[in-house]
Amino acid sequence: MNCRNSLNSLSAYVDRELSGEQMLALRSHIERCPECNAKYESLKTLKTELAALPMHEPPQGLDLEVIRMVRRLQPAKSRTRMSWALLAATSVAAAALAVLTFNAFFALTSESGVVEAGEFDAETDSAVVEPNFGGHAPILPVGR
Amino acid sequence: MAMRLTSNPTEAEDLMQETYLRAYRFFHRYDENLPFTSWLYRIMTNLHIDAVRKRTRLRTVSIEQGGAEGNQTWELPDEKAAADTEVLRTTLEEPLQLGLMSMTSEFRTAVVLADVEGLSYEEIAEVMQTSVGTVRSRIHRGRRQLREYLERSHPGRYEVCAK
Repeated sequence: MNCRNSLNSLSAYVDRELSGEQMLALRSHIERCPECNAKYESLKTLKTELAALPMHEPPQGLDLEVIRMVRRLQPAKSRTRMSWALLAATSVAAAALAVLTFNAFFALTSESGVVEAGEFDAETDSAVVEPNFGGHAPILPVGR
Repeated sequence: MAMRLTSNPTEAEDLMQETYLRAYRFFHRYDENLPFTSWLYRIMTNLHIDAVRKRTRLRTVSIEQGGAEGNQTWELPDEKAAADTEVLRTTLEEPLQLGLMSMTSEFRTAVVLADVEGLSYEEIAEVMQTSVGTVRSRIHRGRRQLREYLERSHPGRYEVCAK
């Protein structure tokens, strides 16, 4: 290893982030090279000094302030959730209506399902039909 | 961490608040494979780097380029603003902190995560969403910037660090 390679790897060496082989090669170089050794020592000191910088505590009441801000966010979030729920419900209802309409249309136009005069259910005032789905299972609306 | 990145109590407080609020709002995006603290570090460092970039963009200077038409204008980054020279506004006056503030935000973030928070290169790469090689390069170049700053500004006090 030469000085150029050594200088490029010294930082990672100080952080013990080199492979075992690279660590050994670099250690052997800095033991023989006073200039690289001095750089290594200076980097080590710098790292120690940075690690020893005093820790700053957050100001008192910061946690409560964050909680207050989160609470202020919540109504907006609930409103968004509500509108999404409304949109979802509307979509489901629209899909159900479309399927019902399709079924009814299919029923009315199918050969065996043509409504004959007088075939009305008195209680529900709707046509009593047994539509023919051509051997396929009928399409049921979602959520029923 | 917030204080070391911003060097200013008001900015640090804002950074912390915004970090927690983002974590709350985007909790559904939290990847459980990542330690929760790393996720918080990621939000905080992204917010910090974005804020510094925005400030730097605001401080770009326009120069008139007298081309053939004589009306071209180029936006060039202000060299003084390229490194985050918020030093004048800083309230932490330790030479090392001033040195951290003389670094570009990406380098400062990598060095703070490694030396102040004690994260490994792999963890820093996860936080900064980059490769281990890039982290290694940022830390190497960041420390070099820091040493140069100390050599220039505090030759007596940090002689050993600045060699």
